[in-house]
Amino acid sequence: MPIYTYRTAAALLDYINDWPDRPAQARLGSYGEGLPALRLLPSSGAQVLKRYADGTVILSLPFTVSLRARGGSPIASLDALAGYIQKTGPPYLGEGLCALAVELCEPPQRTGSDVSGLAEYSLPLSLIYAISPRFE
Amino acid sequence: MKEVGDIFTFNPSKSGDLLLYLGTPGGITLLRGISSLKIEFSPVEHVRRYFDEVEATADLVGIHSRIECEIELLSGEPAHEYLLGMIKSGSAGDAVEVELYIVDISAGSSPYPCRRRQYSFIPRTLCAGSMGAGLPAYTLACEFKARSLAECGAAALSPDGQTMNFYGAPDS
Repeated sequence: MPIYTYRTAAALLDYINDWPDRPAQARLGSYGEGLPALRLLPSSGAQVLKRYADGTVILSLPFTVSLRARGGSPIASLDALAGYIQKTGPPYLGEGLCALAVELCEPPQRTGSDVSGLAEYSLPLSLIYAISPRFE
Repeated sequence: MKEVGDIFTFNPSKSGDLLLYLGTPGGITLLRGISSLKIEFSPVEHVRRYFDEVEATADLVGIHSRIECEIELLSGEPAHEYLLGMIKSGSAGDAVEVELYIVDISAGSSPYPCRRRQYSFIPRTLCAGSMGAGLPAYTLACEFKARSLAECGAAALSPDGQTMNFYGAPDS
């Protein structure tokens, strides 16, 4: 179901870009120009958590929001994003899909740095969503 | 030379091909959230042994069906509200008679073959737990025991499959 994975990733991008305190516009799969830069990286596939008798499937899509910055307080910024997610609830995913929850998998952590002081911080998350069965 | 696909096929009958709809005051709605579904058939037999026969003769004179299921309850779902209403009011006897429609959607396109039958709704347990995603949910374990003959017909599903209309076969 790659089409659904792409749709969910696109909806998640809109959701992150609705965060009013975002340090930069998020991009899907890559960082934008300049610093700080925000990236949304969904994992390659969604994992099926449960199937119901009517064909409804519940899936988990792990994804990471990463912030690349030099200085500042990126951890606090990603903490604020976690707070925003908990406060606003799951995103709207479009017809046939229903987001149930966005779960925080781990606290924000530093995932990379270089000698120039440029560092990358990541917040691992997981989107739990349901796909309704298709009848036609 | 034969490819692997030529000599071995594996095409399981998918879960999701057999849908259960419930007749509610608002219409016939899909019974969603069923995490386990078991349809049991109890044969009704007439067994006798004639004096001139070595072994007994058995005739199958009927099949009594019973549906056992576990339903993860969803807020605002009409079919779930209807069943919960019967539990809350402590209904019994004729008041727990429900109409179930078993629709086989493996056939392809609407209208699908469908069987309508009256059942007694027998709740077993209502457990607070979590659904597959780890989200909190109540799970209702219940049984439906047949109390009428099945009527064959056709089901025309709405585009989203949430509701249906039943058309009985003229000779059923």
